[in-house]
Amino acid sequence: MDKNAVIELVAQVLPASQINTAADDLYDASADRYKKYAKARKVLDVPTPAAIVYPRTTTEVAQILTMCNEHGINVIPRAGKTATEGGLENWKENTLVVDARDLDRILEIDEYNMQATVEAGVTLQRLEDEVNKLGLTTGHSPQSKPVAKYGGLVATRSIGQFSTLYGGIEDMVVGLECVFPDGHVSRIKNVPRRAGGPDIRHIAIGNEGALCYITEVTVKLFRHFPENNAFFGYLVADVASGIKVLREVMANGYRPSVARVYSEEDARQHFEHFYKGHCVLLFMAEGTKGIVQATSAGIEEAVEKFSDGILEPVDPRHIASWFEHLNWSQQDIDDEFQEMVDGDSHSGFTTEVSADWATIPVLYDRVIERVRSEFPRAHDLTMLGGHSSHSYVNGTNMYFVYNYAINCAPEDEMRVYHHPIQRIIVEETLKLGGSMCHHHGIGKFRNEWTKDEHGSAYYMLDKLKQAFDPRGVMNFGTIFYQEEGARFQR
Amino acid sequence: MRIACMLKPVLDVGELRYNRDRNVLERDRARLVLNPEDATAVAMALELKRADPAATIEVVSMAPRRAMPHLEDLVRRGVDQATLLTDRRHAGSDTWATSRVLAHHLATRDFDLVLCGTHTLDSGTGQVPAQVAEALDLPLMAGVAELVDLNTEEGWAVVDVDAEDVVLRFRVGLPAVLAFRYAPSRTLPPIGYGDLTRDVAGQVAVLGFDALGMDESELGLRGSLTQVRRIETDALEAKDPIRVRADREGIDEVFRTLAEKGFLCR
Ligand SMILES: Cc1cc2nc3c(=O)[nH]c(=O)nc-3n(C[C@H](O)[C@H](O)[C@H](O)COP(=O)(O)OP(=O)(O)OC[C@H]3O[C@@H](n4cnc5c(N)ncnc54)[C@H](O)[C@@H]3O)c2cc1C
Repeated sequence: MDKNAVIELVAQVLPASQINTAADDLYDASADRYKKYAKARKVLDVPTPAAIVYPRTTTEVAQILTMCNEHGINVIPRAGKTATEGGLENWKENTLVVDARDLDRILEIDEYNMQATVEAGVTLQRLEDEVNKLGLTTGHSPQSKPVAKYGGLVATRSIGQFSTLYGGIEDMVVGLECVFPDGHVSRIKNVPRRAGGPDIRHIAIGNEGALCYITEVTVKLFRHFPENNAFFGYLVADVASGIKVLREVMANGYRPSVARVYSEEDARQHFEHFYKGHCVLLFMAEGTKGIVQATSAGIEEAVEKFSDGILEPVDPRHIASWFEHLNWSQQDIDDEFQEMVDGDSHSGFTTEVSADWATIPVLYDRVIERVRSEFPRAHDLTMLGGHSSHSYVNGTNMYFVYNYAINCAPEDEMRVYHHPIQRIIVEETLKLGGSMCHHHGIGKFRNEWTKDEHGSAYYMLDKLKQAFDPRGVMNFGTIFYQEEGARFQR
Repeated sequence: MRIACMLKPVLDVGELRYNRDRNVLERDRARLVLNPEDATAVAMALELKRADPAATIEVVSMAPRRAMPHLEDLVRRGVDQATLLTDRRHAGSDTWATSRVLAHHLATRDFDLVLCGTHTLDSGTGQVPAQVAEALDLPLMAGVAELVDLNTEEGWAVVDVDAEDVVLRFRVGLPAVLAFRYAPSRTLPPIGYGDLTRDVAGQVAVLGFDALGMDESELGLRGSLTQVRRIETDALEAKDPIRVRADREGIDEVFRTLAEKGFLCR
């Protein structure tokens, strides 16, 4: 079968107005932000999909998936296009990108029961703006909030900046609707909790388009008291000192909405105007007045207890104004892309992992030491550091950030710079018992470690793939390693 | 055609930190980058070599040892030979002593052209190209924006020099020192994937003080005509930030403040 045959088949299911075969759009659809530099420089090495389709109903999604399943056509589900790990990258000649653009209705905002139902193509910002009018919030605030859409947010197990209070998307999803490759539509009902067997929401949440297509999502809503927000900032001696304070706050049961520690290098990127060459610890307390007071007292107590590592407090207004400007709009994303086209460079990449409290400081030091001593292009690094930005009672994440001067061809950037560093980070994390991917998903470029990530539990993951996508048409290469795709990885 | 390039790996000034507790500039922690104007000169040399593959390029650099990976990369980009002049005894050399060392090495070579940048990021005096040319008894063209024409057989080059609001065209006899201006469009070519790990040990040389055969009194602080008596640092005071909104009034406020402080003329 060739691309034309794929287009003919899809034309039997959808009207022409819902099928896009424009060359520029197909080029854009062949990769996501993982290979953004090669994409901007027009040197992508992957095939373009046959078409992008825009279903308007769950029935249309089911028809498309059934057709693809029958004919062995690869399906890449797509929502806001902010994927960073290759989840939208295409490795097959015959691929349909199924875009949620027209699944864009907010179906219900149920103020009394504190939940809202949206279709997969609704941007988080849109729902947030709507519920804000009612004094409510979704509690979800990834930096990509203005652009990311519910289908993608749920499929990647995304997490927002206020996660310490509201949790990740998995804590917010009440129920959902999804379509499997054989055309079966499953609706998971919206209840506060149940013990009806295993929690099947988690088959769809985090599936990265590799098991099913999410068409509809119901999420929790929370009362919102932004006027009470209180901010705290401190310069601290090192990452480990900051982590100790985070742990103390969490272990005492406080839930500040933001709790972060930045290494000095990373702090320099964000807080040049006040960091004075040191690591930065910051918090935001959110909620009713009473909760904010109690949380603030808890933060101050923890800071006092570990005052040895605290160098000085920071004007809280700095932290507040930093938060106001943190999110990326579509314009920011487009500007960055244009800069890569015009300026022939970009800043670098990230890898986000998680581990328990005792492990994270050790992991951080080991990774930095190994990158500095083993990475062959260490002299090109313009920045190497990281931050912890999502904490739990038993541990936290580490978001490694590394920028570099690119001295190779754009198509070689990832294998020359990102891959060797990512490998060190993943190896060290798995060695120490942590998770190699805290919130961006596995995508296509960490799939060689999926088995190591899950160990003996990989059995369960593999069985899910076999059961729900036996013909392997869902997002080929995502989560699950494929030898055929290895040539695009190295 | 034989081309020599002088290149200085400089500290990335954006990364320099002043340690107020110890009152020192933390040089060792800052990354080295190629001085942009020198990189323009090397990019020019590589362009000439692409047009005339028989051309040879030697890059000469007086720098600390940790500059080596940068020089190796230049070989991987197509330079034939890189020479690092490095020795603890070079420490403290001013532009005069530095020029003497570079000229001393270049005097042992045959070349048609010496290419370099006009200024460096870290000191910006523009003295080294002139002093090297003087020591080698060669003509110098500084502020070169473009090498318009070149004939090494007949021994001349035509260059455009940017002089504020006019471009001056000169014909200069070879060999000569041509000091370039930074040209963002003239970038070093990327290193090919296969070349990134190419062993270039045979094409890079490290020469210490003893190999140069100079007198110790010509080097370092002793050989420097500039003597630093005292360094004073400005103590920075934290000021209260002025917060404005991103609207018309905010813009006016920023404008007013900058004008009041003399950064803008009304
Ligand atoms: C500037 C920026 C900041 C970011 N900040 C954060 C952050 O703070 N926290 C965070 O977690 N992530 C962050 N990300 C990553 C990204 O925004 C998230 O992964 C987000 O959830 C992706 O949503 P999307 O709608 O853009 O999905 P897409 O990019 O379109 O798709 C992402 C993945 O989900 C799959 N998918 C999409 N729609 C569906 C569907 N309907 N059914 C099944 N599978 C589907 C795709 O196949 C792909 O594998 C950031 C990205 C950027 C560019």
